[in-house]
Amino acid sequence: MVKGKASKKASESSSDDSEIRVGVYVCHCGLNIAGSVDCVDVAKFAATLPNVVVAKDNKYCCSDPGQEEIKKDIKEQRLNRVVVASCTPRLHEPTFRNACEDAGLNKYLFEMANIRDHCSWVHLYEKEKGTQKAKDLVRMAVSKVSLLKPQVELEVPVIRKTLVVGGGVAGLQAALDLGNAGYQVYLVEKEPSIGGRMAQIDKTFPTLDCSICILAPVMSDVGRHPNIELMANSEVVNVAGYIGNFTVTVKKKPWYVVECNSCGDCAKVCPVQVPNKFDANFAPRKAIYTPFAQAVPSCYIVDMDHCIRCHECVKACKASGAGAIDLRQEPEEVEIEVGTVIIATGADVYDPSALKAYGYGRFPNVISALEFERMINAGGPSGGHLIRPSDREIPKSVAFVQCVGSRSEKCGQPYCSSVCCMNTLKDALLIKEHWPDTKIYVFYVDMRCFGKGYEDLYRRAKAAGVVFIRGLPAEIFERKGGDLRMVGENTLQKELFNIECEMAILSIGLKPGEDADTIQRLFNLSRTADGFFMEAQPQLKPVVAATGGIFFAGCAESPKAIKDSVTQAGAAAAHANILMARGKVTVEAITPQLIEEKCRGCGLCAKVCPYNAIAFDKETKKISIIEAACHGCGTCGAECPTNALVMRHFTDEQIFSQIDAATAENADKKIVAFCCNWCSYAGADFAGVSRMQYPPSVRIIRMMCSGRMATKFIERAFARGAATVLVSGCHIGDCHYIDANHYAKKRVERFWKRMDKLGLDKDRLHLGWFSAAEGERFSNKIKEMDAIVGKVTKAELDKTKKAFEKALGGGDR
Amino acid sequence: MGTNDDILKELLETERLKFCFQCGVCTASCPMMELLPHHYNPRSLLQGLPFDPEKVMNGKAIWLCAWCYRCHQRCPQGLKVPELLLQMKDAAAERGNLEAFKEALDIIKNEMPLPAICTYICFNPLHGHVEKPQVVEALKGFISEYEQMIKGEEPPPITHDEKIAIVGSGPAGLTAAWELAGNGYPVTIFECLPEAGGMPRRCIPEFRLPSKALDADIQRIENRGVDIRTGTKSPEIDDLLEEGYQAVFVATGLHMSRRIGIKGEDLEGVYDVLDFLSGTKTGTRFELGDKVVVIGGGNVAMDGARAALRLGAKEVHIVCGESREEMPAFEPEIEEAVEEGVILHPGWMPTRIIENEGRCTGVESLKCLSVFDPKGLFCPKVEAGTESVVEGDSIIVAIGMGLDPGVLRAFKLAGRGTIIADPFSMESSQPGVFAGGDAVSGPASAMEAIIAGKRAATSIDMYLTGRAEGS
Repeated sequence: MVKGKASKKASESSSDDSEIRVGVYVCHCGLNIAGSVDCVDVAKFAATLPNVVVAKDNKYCCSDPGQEEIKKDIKEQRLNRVVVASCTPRLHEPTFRNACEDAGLNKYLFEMANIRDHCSWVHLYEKEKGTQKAKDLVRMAVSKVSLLKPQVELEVPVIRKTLVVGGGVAGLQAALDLGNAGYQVYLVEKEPSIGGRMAQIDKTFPTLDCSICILAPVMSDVGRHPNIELMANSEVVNVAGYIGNFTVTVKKKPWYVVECNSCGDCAKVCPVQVPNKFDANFAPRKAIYTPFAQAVPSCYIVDMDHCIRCHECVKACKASGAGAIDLRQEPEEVEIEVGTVIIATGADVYDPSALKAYGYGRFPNVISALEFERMINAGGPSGGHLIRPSDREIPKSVAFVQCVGSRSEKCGQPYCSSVCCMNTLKDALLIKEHWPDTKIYVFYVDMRCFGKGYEDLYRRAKAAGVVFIRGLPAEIFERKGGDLRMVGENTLQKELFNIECEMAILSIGLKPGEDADTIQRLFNLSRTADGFFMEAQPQLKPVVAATGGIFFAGCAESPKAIKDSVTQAGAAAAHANILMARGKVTVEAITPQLIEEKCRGCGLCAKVCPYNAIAFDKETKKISIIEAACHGCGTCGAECPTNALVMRHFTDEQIFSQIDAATAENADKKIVAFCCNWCSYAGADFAGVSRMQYPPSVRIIRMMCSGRMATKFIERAFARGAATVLVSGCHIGDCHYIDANHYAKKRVERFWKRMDKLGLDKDRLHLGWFSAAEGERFSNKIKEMDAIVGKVTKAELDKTKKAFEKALGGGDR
Repeated sequence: MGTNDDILKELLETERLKFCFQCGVCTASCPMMELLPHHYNPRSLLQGLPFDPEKVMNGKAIWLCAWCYRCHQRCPQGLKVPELLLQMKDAAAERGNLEAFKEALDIIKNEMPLPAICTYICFNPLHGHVEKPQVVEALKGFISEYEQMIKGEEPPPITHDEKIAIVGSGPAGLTAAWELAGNGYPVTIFECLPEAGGMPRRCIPEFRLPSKALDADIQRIENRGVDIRTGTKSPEIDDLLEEGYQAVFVATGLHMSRRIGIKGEDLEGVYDVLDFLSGTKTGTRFELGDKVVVIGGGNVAMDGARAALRLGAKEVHIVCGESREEMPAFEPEIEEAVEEGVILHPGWMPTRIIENEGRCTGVESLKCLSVFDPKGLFCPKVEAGTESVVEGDSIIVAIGMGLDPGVLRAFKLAGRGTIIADPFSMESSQPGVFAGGDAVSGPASAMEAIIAGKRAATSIDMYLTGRAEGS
């Protein structure tokens, strides 16, 4: 583990805690908030709260004048705490923290109340209740801010090396950009050659460039770049560390060939034939092979799953004088240290055999678009001739079927794959170019030709006589002799069609890569409901992962064309470059602080820490915190039985104050929700952005991780008379702190048992997992719990209050 | 009268309806498009719904859905079109707008083969959550009008010499006969059962299809001069060709119940659902006892359960391995069975029939974790140690149907035990021999069999006239 150099960041904190002076700024956000919350009223209310000396409303707090006003007040009104009630802290916390710092206030003395995403946007039609809730949220923020302490951030160095995962065109571009910028790049590719999908494609759209002709130079540039270490036929198997300091284990699978001169004598004598995956399994290759002529690295490889150990290749290689084959080679694991990671793992294609009505796999003349690419490619199995698999004749009529495995709930891929329309236009033109008399039909629902030069290609295809029929075939029938009959509705003519074709090409959609699960787990990433990796912010941070130091390029993030993949790769490289050029990164001051006299030396904290950031000496029973390794999830603090660990910026006391403020009025009508910063809080934000309406009874308390969720918080909420409590976090397996959310689950399950024993209604405590994309699930959960709120009786509330009354005492102060 | 918004709000799947992107797959999958292309187009119904639900509700098209669910099976968005239309029908009935239903009946009567069978077992106008007394009335009127209508019908003149043999008198065979006789061919139907009508005659319960309706349809075909020979021995194809029939259409259906293959299957009190259903129609006495267990989750199982209730069983249970959502029976069929008091036990895979002194006393099953593998193939996984028993004085096994192996030695059979024939032309591998209906498609709706009959008739005509031209 890399040690963080704790260089003190200038923090000219002027907080004199003898008198807490809070300034509250309620933002209208144009009409985004003011439309359904009475901001003036909220500001008036804020002025009545303890410690508040200034309370104002402002049309846009984040604007320059808005920030200036805050800065001015800090200086003139001697504010030592600031609350802004506006949007989500995930958006503007950095803005306002900087403003505070500019005015000489430590940025940790700032707190946000999320009255937009969590309030005005989700209660659009309930202005009175929305305003009431906004007041509660401000009250909670003011209570917390009064207890906040100035913090000093730790600065850690960023290793000036990068890892690129995936050697398709996006990965290659990112690797080249960073290599050219002078950084050491490790490029890991699981296949024996780089090149990815683009190497399989014949021509590119919209310009009909020869795909491999433009890609091969990039591949060889990467292959011989002094700054790029190419690790093909390799996989990432373990990742440790954090932004700027990742330790990555890469498994290099054996090639069984070392220092190959690519003469090919080995493959000539190999007696085993297997389908070549690179040729979409259309053509055979030998058990010792190179996937395609331009492969980089240029080295033969033995497919041990199919090798029969006849040793003919070994003999042939010896005879040619190279002696490069070693069938006993073992896999090897290497450890590399990098500061940044670029995920460019690409996408897979949909397998249409599940759509039985189209007969793919049963009818030889129904092929996929990827198979077509290999067939029309001069380097492919048919030497560039489009032939029907059934009789090797050149078809006189060809049908393209669009949206196969795209825009389909049934296939589990409801999204548009965005490249298939253009790919079909390109393919149709290629056929017309070689065999102008071929009759071509394109069965489509919508032709989506939205990019530069795309509409031109559509016009060219129409001019070339391609027939476009709006309506998908319902079924494809095979006729005697292998011809096909397409049956569907021409929806524009409102009549059925029944068209005979000699060949059909299914325009298959893209889906997340097979190993997306593994990559997600290894690098601690999130994925959207579609299964593609999720960006930190879809508009403004489209290539940045929510996990620090990791960036996306290409189809791993969403289906996209080559040009967009390359653009994104450049952006990802630029982001990595910015981090590494600066050479250091600050880590949020949200780590635990040990109060030694309280520590009993039980070692539980060390046991639950997902990052081994707490060292426990069994002999001395002493613990020590490795701050640079700590990510700040707070699981240790929640686990500590003696309150000996104080989580900076998320102390027990601060969270209690939020609970107390949330339950100050009408507690019996409220849901107290604990949300983790990365998934469930972000999911609630997403519900807001999507304007998904839910009842205004919920009060959300943000923590970094559900692992911070200590049982005492639930007790406190119930002791204060809350009707229901929601504990929420990332889905199990998706936790941003590896597996810290397991502890939240365990604690809640134990709590349910306790409630059972105490004769309390278990249904008042819910545990929910919401990803950042699951706004709808979050809002449904609130609706479900709101229904329960209405049913909780006074007797039940009193019983619960009594059962947990001890929890009203102090915390970790 | 509610507003358009109210109508839309009442509709199940309104949300998903918005996702329809008008690909036309539903329309192209729909058998009604082949029979009544000018009156019914599900895609354009779906398009019309959000714009003017009232217009759709008051239209006749909603009454012309044949409940085959093929649109749903193929819809990329998984829309349950038949159930959407059912809700439209319910809404129409609640608002008393049944003029369109009467129009629909007229269209069926005048333009469809087998109008009575279709009306009762395909269009199912009585399905739904709303009582429809006006529909009941209209149906009564329909039958008597229909009986009147066919009385005066004269057979068309015979214009072809080529004799055609049809094996089987179910919906597929009858439709082919109707079409071919209409074209002037002499047609003979061979039926090994004592009465014509195939599966609808043998097993569809009276409460779903009155015999009167079936009789009328068959009478009408006989009026066309078709020679229906019932109670014949199953003829050999080669014999028929030798006897001078120039084309043969094989539409024998699937009349063998699949055996479940668990212990106790042959005990006293265990019935095969087809024997049971046909027995109830012919008046066989069944000593069912108070409690009946039906094994299986398909439409036939629902019929079996409901028929058992009508025979006086006090409790009827259905046990099937599929979960409630996976049950192959159509949703309204399941709902109607439940409304009548049938108790469902979905997700339990029967493993043994329990015996007491030679008679069954119940079904033991294991909790079913999954029925299908990821590829959609039947591959049940059960949880050991979860044995549970549903007691039953008698047990009805309804887990699917197969081809009678004795009948069709001459055919190439597909893996699942059906005859291989071109799904469009219905041609088999033997020239002049065509096949269709359940025997080719596997268990399917009556409407799908009617389509097969119609397609076969067209192909046979082309085959015979084509040969005439050649000679």
